[in-house]
Amino acid sequence: MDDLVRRLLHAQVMLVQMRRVVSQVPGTPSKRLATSTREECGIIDQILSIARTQTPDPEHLKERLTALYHADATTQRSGKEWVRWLAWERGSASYRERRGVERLLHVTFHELAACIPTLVGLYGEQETKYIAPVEYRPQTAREV
Amino acid sequence: MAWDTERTDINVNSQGDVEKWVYSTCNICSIGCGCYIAVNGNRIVGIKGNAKHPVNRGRLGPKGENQWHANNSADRLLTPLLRDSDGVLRPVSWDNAMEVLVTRSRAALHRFGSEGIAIYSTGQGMLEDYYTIAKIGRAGLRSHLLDANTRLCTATTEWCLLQSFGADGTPAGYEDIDVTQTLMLFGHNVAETGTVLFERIMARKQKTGKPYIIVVDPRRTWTAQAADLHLQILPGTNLALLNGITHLLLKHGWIDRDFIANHTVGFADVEQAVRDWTLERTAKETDVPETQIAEAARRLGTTPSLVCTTLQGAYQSVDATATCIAINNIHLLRGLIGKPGCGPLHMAGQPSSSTNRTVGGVGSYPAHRNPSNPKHLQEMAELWNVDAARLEIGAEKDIEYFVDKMERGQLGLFWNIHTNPMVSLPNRLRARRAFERTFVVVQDCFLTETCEVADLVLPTAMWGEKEGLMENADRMINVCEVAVNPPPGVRSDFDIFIDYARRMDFRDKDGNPLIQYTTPRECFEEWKRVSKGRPCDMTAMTYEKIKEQNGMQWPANEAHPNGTPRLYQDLVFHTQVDDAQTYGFHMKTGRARTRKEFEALGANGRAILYGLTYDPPAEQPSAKYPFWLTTGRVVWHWHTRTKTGRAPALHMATSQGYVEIHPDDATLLGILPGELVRISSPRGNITVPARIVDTIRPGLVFVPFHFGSWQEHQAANELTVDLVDPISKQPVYKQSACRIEKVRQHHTVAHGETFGRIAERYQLTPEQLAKANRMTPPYRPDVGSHLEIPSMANPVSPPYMLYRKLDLFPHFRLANLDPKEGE
Repeated sequence: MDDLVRRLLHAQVMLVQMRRVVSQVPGTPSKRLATSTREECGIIDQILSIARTQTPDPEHLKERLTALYHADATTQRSGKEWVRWLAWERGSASYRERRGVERLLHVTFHELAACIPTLVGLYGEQETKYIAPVEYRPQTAREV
Repeated sequence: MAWDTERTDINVNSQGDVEKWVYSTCNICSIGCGCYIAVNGNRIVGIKGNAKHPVNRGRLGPKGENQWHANNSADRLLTPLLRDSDGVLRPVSWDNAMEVLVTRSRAALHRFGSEGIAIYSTGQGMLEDYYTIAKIGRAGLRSHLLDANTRLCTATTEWCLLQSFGADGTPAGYEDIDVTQTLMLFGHNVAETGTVLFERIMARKQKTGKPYIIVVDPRRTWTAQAADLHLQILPGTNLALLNGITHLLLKHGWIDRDFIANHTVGFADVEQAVRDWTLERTAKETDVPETQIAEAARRLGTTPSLVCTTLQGAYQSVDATATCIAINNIHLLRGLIGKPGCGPLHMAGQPSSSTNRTVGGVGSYPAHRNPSNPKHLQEMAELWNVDAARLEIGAEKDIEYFVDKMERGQLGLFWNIHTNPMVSLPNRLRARRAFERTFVVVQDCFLTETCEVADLVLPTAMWGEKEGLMENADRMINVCEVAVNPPPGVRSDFDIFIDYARRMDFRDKDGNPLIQYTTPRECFEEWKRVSKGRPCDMTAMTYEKIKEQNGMQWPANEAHPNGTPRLYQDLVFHTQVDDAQTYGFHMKTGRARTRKEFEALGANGRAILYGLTYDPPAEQPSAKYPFWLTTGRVVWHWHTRTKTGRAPALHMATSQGYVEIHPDDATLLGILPGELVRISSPRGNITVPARIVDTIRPGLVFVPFHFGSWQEHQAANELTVDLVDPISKQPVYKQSACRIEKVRQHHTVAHGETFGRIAERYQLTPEQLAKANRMTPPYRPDVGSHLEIPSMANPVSPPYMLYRKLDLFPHFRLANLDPKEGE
């Protein structure tokens, strides 16, 4: 659980930084990404609050974790769209902002992906599939 | 009865008699017209409308009655092609091709796991094809990567229905259009996209004056010209308009409070969201006069019956899902749903795109099952006799996700079936670069632009050469029978999938083959078991019964043995938590709701109202790109013209792309009618002739999306933004920014050259040359001076109704018939 908390805290820092960058650029993609990151940060707060209780309610935690992974999937998509959009809007002058947001998205994604073993430990592999979309889960080679 | 069999359209081109007429269904648009295929000597020689079919009463649209030409086209693909080490596509045997497909599939699964293969199909296949794709994809490959070109076309239909009513399936049908008092066509240019339905609407209108027609469209389309009220909206302001109209409904008390209390949840959210959408604000945001908005609201607020249709003007715009939900909201606020003449009719685009959604080929779990509900997955596992743990959980992924994976080199195989994404995807240059990074299989009847990036090409049978069922836009299942044998060397899609499943050795949990049916009819029997008890129950259908009744609308079961023309007559919606097809999405972010969040809505069989927030389009005109760009269809063509471009009459009617520009803008830019211009956006550019028309708003240009890059450099999607709706994931094709530049040569006037001779040299009239150079008579340029020389083309696209000689259509202008307009 400590690892989960540490990673979510780190992800939250990334999200806050991301929101700071995008809030400087007016436009609907910025608004969408800011809304998504704000929601995601709020869900992380809720998870941390549950995790810090003496006896965390595993079902409540699972429900909020499900919300978190889906919120991040939305953030990832909105973030990639924002990066493409900014390149069209501002061209090469926006390189630094775009790279910055790409990096923040990347780190956030990997922090959440790195929590999957903890989730599997808490809920088992099958239940974890309901919590985290497929892109966050490790893919294993298949022989058919 | 307004919709009678007044004529039967026939288009036959035969040197001899027609040997037989074979029962079928049109394979072009989503209207679902019944037809008979004319056959002579194992060759399709024509088509006629089915006079007894309730959808079309003998009529056919121009594309429908010319579709058969493609079957006989000399350039049909007749053998599989494999790209060799020199990069050339070369013929190979079917056995070789299928082994390559299987080998590459196994390699992709080995390297990337289940998410290593994506299947991207179509809206023009058969129910049995789609169901087999679903079974292979979900239970065989165990993948989420199933999507179709329906994502680009009408995906929003599905998602707005899920959000409001809990399950797919459009509530109203064509029969409701026949009796409604008011019809709102929202971003739906039915006169060009569904000509037979338009005739049906206008037949009644001409005879009875009803329904009152409201059209919302930034272009004064043929549909808009037939409307009683046309709201010529600013691009990207659909939701602003609907929020404003809803504000007026509430303000004037034009709502059904009992219905709202008994059959909906979420009313307070609507009240809150539209509070500030005053008439003044709405008019300012949409650039529609206040009087028109007020009249629209009054009509919508006081009509005793209402059908609202939507199509790509809603689906391919910013706020797509929210816009369609706002329309659902209006029906719910007024209680106009589930009774004759009432309900939203969110249209499909292609002839069987709805089928693909219903049976799961697009990645939804078959029969409207919720991929996040363990009970539904358990049902599927039992029906398919596989372990539940083997079925992947969670919603399907979309084509933009596939492109992103390809860009990152994380997709091993992309299987492209009957679609041409290298023309149809937004920002197509980016898509092309992505496709070049994976193994691409193209399954099609012809070579297309997408074959340029294909590694393997599988030639297929076409409509008329294979058996199957299709579902049209109002849930009607129709039969397509085999008229002729396919040409030697090609296979039906169904046979390809069955062969693939066999070679991949997909098994159920008892070790038996996963797919045991061998014919489309056997497949349909299995599908019926899968559909049992679900909203799209088809257990009362058989091929024979569907044919006998000329189509059946689902659900068709014991309770409704002859089908169901209208949904929700009991006013019970699919929003019980274990009935719903999805837990839905948050409107503000597009994030999937959890089960608990869905339960917290307390819908339990009631429809869900949403408060909706308007966001302007991401890309808007700027100093560098000062025009709005919108794209769409012309009446003569379908998609990327793979079939319609091979029908002589259709090709001749509109043989090339163009850009529609308002006369004020053309004057400002000094552009002549018919002059070639370059349209540029931040993503690319195309060169097309200008068609100067006053049916488009100033500041907005329109480019048809049918044209690719083989004949001319005219692909509209070179320009479009690849941003998508956060819920339906449908691209925002309708709102990009662009600039227009003249493409002119320069001529230096030499001694002895007359103005007339210079014009003649460049195949211009003196008037054209003078206008291009802003000269006034007498035209005497100085020796050594420079003249600008425009390149001219003839982008005329004649109106369809003229061709049809339907004199009932009163809104033609003589200007439309003047060939000079398009010069």
